[in-house]
Amino acid sequence: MSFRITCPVCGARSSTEFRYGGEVPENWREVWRRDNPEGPCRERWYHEFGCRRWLTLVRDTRTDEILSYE
Amino acid sequence: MADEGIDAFWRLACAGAEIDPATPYDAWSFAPPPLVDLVLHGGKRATSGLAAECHDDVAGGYSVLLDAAGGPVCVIRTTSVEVASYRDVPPDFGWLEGEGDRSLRYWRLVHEPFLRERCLANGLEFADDTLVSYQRFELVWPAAPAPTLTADGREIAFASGDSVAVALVRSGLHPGHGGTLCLAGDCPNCLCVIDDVAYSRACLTPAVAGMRIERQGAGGTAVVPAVAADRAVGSRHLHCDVAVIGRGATGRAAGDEARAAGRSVIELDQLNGEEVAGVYQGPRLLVRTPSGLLHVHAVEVIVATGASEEQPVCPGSDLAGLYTAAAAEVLDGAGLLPAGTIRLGAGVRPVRFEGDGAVTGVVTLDASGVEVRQPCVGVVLDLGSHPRDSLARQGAGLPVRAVGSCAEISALPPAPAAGVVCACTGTTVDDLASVWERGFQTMELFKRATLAGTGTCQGAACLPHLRAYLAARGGDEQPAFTARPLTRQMTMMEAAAGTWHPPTRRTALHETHRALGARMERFGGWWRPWTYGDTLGEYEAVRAGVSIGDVSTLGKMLVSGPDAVGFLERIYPCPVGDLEPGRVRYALLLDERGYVFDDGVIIRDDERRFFLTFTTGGASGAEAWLRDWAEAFGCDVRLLDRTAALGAINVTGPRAAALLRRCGLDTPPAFLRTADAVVCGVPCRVLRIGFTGEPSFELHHDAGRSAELWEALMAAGAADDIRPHGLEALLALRLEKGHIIVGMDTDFDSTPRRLGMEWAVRMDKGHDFLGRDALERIDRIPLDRRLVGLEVDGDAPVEGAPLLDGGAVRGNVTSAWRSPVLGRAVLLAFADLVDGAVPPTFEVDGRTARVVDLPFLDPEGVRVRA
Amino acid sequence: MSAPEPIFCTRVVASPAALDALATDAVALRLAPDDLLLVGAVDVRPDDPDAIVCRDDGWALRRMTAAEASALVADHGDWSVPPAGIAQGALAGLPVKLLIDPAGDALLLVPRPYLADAVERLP
Repeated sequence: MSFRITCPVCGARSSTEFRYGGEVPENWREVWRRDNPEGPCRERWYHEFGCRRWLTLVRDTRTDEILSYE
Repeated sequence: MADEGIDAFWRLACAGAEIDPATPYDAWSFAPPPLVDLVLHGGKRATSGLAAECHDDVAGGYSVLLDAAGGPVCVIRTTSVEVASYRDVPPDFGWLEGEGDRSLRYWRLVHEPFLRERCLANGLEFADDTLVSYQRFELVWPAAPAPTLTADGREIAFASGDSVAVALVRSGLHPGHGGTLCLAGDCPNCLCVIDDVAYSRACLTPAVAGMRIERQGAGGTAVVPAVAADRAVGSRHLHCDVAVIGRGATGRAAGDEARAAGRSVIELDQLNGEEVAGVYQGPRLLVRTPSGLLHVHAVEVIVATGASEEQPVCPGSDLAGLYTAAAAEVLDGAGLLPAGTIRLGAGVRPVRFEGDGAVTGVVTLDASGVEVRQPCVGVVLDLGSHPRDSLARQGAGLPVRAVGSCAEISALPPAPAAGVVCACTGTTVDDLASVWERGFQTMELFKRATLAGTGTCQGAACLPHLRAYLAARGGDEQPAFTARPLTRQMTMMEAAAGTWHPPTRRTALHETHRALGARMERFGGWWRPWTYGDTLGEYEAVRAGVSIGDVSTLGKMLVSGPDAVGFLERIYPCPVGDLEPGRVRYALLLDERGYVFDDGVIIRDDERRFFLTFTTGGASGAEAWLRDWAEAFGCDVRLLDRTAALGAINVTGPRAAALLRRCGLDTPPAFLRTADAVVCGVPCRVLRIGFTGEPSFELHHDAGRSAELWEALMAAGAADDIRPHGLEALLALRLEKGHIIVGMDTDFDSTPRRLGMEWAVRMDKGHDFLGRDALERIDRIPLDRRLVGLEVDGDAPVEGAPLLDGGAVRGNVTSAWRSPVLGRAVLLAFADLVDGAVPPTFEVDGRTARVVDLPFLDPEGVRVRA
Repeated sequence: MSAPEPIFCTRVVASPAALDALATDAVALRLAPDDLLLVGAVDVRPDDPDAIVCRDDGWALRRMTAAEASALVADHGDWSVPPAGIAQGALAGLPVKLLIDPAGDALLLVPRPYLADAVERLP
């Protein structure tokens, strides 16, 4: 089941409106490195059905709870 | 009454219904008047209005109801008038008003606008606490015929207000063939197929005239009917601060408290036809209603679902004639509890029930432990209750809390000694013993080994008994097994409600293609003309004359800004900074692993502004890709996706330049050049490219003018026998030139080297770029396979066919076409290197395929530059 | 309600500050801090040398009341419509824009390539 993501431009929407961009790498030269943590994960989401902009958030991968937005 | 017609009708009614004709009466019509039909034929037995307008309504008063024309229709007698706030609408009013699906939700849907309008007319402000007069009435004359429904093929009569379960009992049928009735939605003993929907709870479904019922049998599996395809189910989403499940006293109090704190509240109750089937993260509630699926998004969920009565577990508990205390109360109220039904005292657990199909006796133990048999035709049990908490348990870890008896811990019953524990799955006490002996001794394993609790009631009936059994065998009380959605069965249409196929986009020329007889196919997320019916003729037109094709689906982006050059240098593996305005440069797009994921061209408009194209399939991802990296690199650029805004028509063939001159393009740009020009009166960005192998001019223009430009080109080219080409011809034309289609002739791990396209990468261009690090590493590993050109005599083998070398698979065909100009089939294929080289021949489709240099046609590029 | 009609718009991509400072009487939808969609042909010059200003034929428009817009989103979306201003999101699986006027009018914008799907999916 989907969960809600609050887009800073458009407001709270279903995660199905977003394209998943994966974990934010520490360094763009090492974007192939994925830690795949169980727990808080800093990641990128693209609001494809709305403003078409990226946002960065921290999601708990166990519960899909969004812990913080940047 | 002034109206003689109405008065005559009244006298007629008085005679028929034995009323004193001198009794005063009122005459009025509903708003809207046709609602009166529902009184006669739809079971409507209540009406409501703004209290401020209903002073005169009193219990006992008679009314003649009028139709839209003012004619008398029937006589009713008001049985009760209750004034309460709009918020506190009696829970049965949705049903009694008889409108729509008879749910309370529907009642609110139609009554809120009505009451708002009446408030407005009376200078009042409508609010949740606006006072409403709730009036119940009975139909006095003419008498309504008793409604009927069909049960197991038999027509049975029922009374207004009956649930399906009560209607069945009224006709002497046990709704589930046997088992204790709870009439509260907690057990599997009244499951029926109702109007083709299996596993419906008869006790929670109001009986409606004409319904078709098939009894399923206690816990029995239904023959799931083929459901009519047209029964589409809608889905709605509601948002609130607090969702309260259960509108009993506790739930209402919780709702009132939240409202008093200024929070928005949604209340749900299965008695209003709102069955909460699952609690999901969010929290989000999935709710079945007669009018479709409801998603309630709440900040907090309060579960006030109360408690469910314990079901007996002992031999004979599957007989008919057994009732919980609450069920007995319902049936007694309807006068349906047969004489000869005996009531066991609170907490009295029978040893067994006796009877064949229906109960004829109950055996209990007396104070000294001696069996006592009492003959009976029914037994009412009072075994206490347990929290109805499966929704609360589903919400573990979420802001979901149980209140009232739903949150109370109940004492476990004594361990069951014999009989069916889980009626849904038919699990007996013997089954539990067997599973225990085999070592499955924790609650979760118990559930999986026996399947107890996995049925339609999801443990509501069996869980206390399972826990009691485990506690007795193992000593410790174990918690309930994990509750997961769904707790209610859903139809396939409900499961599909609110989901949509990904849409397929249409270019502005879609209808133009269809009018030309094109066969449209989905390709890269768009509808594209595959062929106009004569692919070879379309191919010939490009190779020998002139043709146009719709390439509006190409991805198109504008990039501008102080960092535009630096940004694109990092995006593309080819140089960008040295590109001069007016030139077109082909470019690959690499991901950070050095794999090709798209291609297109780069055009420079001025120092800090570029126009980029992408493939049809890559277009949707291109914008996200560029925006992500612009942020990652911290580049100051403006980006605009122009894909939908611009149409593009490719004019191609040896006579393309001549045609365009006639259309106003005096000096068509040379190969890999671009120019802005007006063609047939339409401003265009003209890109000279060579995908087809012939001179090609892509005309990019405002999409609103696509049809006009297409028609003008077709008209201007008529003398040259111009004809449009579809995608099938285009795929063949480019294959003869050895041009790849990304996604068709590439894999997810195709490096430029594997594609033989190292020329498109400039490691020494003086800028870092995406994938460069990876390519450096990959270049140190020997090449293992590459894309090659193959020729084979005869027809084209199927795309995907394996390349064989001495019986071993050495690759696969990615594109294939029997070339009319070359007289043989040409293929692109991935081929493994053997001892550092691609073998000169392979076996494909039982024939010999020869590896040849690419392109197959016009290697010097004479035609394309002409 | 009527079907959406293809329209042409003006698209302005510029720095957020330049867009904030832009004065126009045109019907305007701020799609993102740096992205502005104006209905119709509008001559605007944002104060940004790198601004992109161009005609945008990528939309189809349907006029309705705010109440109709709310009903449409309630039936086919999983979000709720604000009392006024722009809203963007999925409606019947299509990416749409809504502009709600405090006076009670609303505009629904659908990307032109989805026009036929919008006609089919949004009654």
